[in-house]
Amino acid sequence: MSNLNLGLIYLLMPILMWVVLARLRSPVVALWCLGSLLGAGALLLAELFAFIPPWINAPMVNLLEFTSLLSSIQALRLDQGVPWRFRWMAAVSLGYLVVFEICREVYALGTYRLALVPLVELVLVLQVVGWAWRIARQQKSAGAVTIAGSHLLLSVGVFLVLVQLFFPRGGVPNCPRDSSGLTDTLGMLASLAGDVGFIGLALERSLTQWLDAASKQARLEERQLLGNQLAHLDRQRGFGLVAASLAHELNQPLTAILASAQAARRGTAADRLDRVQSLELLDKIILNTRRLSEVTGRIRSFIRPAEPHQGPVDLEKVTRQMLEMVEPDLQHQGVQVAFAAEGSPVLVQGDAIQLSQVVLNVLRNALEAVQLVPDPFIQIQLNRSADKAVLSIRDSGPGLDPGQADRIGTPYFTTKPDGLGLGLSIATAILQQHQGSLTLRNAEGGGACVDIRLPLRAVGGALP
Amino acid sequence: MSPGPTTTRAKGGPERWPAAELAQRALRGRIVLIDDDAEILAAVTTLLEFEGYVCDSFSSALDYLRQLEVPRRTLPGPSCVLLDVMMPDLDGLEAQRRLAALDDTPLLLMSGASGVQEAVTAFRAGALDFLIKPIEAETLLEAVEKALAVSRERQSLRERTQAQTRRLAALTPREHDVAVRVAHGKLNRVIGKELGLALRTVKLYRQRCLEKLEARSTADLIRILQEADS
Repeated sequence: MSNLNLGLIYLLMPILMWVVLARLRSPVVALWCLGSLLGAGALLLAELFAFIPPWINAPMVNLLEFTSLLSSIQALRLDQGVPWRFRWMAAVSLGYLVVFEICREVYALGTYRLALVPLVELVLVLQVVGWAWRIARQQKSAGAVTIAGSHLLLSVGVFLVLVQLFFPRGGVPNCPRDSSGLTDTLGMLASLAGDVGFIGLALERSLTQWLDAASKQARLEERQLLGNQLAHLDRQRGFGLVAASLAHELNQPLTAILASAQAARRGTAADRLDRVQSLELLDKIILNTRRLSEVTGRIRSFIRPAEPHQGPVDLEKVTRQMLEMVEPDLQHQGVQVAFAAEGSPVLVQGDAIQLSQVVLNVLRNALEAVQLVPDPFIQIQLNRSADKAVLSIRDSGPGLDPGQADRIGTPYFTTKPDGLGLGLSIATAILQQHQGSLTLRNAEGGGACVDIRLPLRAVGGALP
Repeated sequence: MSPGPTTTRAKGGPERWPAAELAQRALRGRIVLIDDDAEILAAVTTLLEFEGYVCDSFSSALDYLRQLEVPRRTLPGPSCVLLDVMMPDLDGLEAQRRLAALDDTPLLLMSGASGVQEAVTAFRAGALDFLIKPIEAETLLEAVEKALAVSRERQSLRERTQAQTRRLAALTPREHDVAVRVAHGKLNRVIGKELGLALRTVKLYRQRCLEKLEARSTADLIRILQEADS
């Protein structure tokens, strides 16, 4: 086989490899292909010695061969995360070229001059072997083993060239370039096997990465689902907490309805009811039934499937609704509420139910904080600040201990004897999903203040 | 929950009855209804008025307590208080404590969302019944009737005690001394010796005691004095 054909095969291999592996867009693959390509270039250039003056041909071939191996080593080093600096590599290549030229010009060196090329080659090939072996051990990669094995074979070939050089059979040292078929065959085998091994390594690598990414994605989705379920559970628990108040709210109209209906029934049975009285009683029943359905409507809108639903959410409306939700407790505890808003909708993007839950959790916290203080109040402010909506809920409670402030909002941390420690951490998690944040601080005039920040919805976004 | 329209209140209440009917209704019973929900006040008032009672409604226990401070003529007849537990400014259990300190009007509590704890507290503080909202008319009327019966009993007991106190006060000190010793089961002769009185005088005082205390027999006299003691 002529060296020209060999060079073409060398040229074809990296091109094919790049075609196969380009999809990975990996600099490691690019470097390895470049290495093979440079090697092929060196071989082809060496074949063209007849057409190019030797003073330019010889250094070019050498430089290409040197940089080819350097590229391969750099590819493996990059894979291990310890690449050489390219500036340094360029300097070394240049240095090598200069040394080579000096050797070539100074004939006196004889055998040593001829030995320079295979010697350097041997060092570099052994470097490839070393790095490939390191990868093979680390990742149990068959591809890396192939690379190491083939290059080890190549190093043996180069070593044989050196031996031949120092102990020539005919007594006259030959130029290593056209020394023996054995070296060429070994070189080709090493290169081919190396490339195949590298394809294997790259594919293994990409498969591992893909699996990693897939399992990471799965974990993320699982966590999100769990988060949603937890949020849903918390919502139900929150609902359980307001259930006592709701029972009262439901029972009041029910009591009025039942009393009116039974008054009407008894009155009619005893023939003591005139037309006006009957109408009055019926009106009462109708009125209180409507009152009842308002309450059930509020409950229904609060318990809904856990799937988040994205859309424009008016924070002011959400806050008002949640205030209504805790209204019985506010009245019961005699808590004064001041809600300062701009009066126009403050729109953010997100899930209305989840954001309602955030506000409710914070309100409930505030309510519990003011349980034992005289003249309790809760101040709520809704503002726009740059591109954020800021909802501040301040209570007149005892505030936070400095040590507690950091830990509040982490799951299962609670200062309440019967708390689960999930309220604010769920609120925080929901806000993070909405690119928002929750901060807890002591207010200037005493008590704790929770600031909820959410990105404002772009003006004119999806408005019809 | 916010109370409904309050215009409905003006229609009920005792003011609208003619004096004769009001008196008749008051004899049947007067129910003080306290609930922060105007709709419930109106509905329950209607129900009770259909049954021939007088119903005074208040939207807060504080209103009722303030009204009690103003002395005014009350109609004769039994009365009871029907009190909601869950109210904003003064809750039913606290109101119960304050009312119990003022007089012995029987108390009924009602609630829709209270637990066993509230009920136990209410019963311990002397509530006659604890009604769960929504309340069946039969249950309500039964409880009211029972409370009014208790009220009647307490009133008559009070009247009797008052009469006896009045009669005891009519005895002279000497007659009182004799009556006390008779109640202790002492013989006329012993009483005479103790008080330095003639047997005839003791018999005379004893006869006057029976007359003044309106006792039919010595046994009756003993009972009256024992009641006055306790």
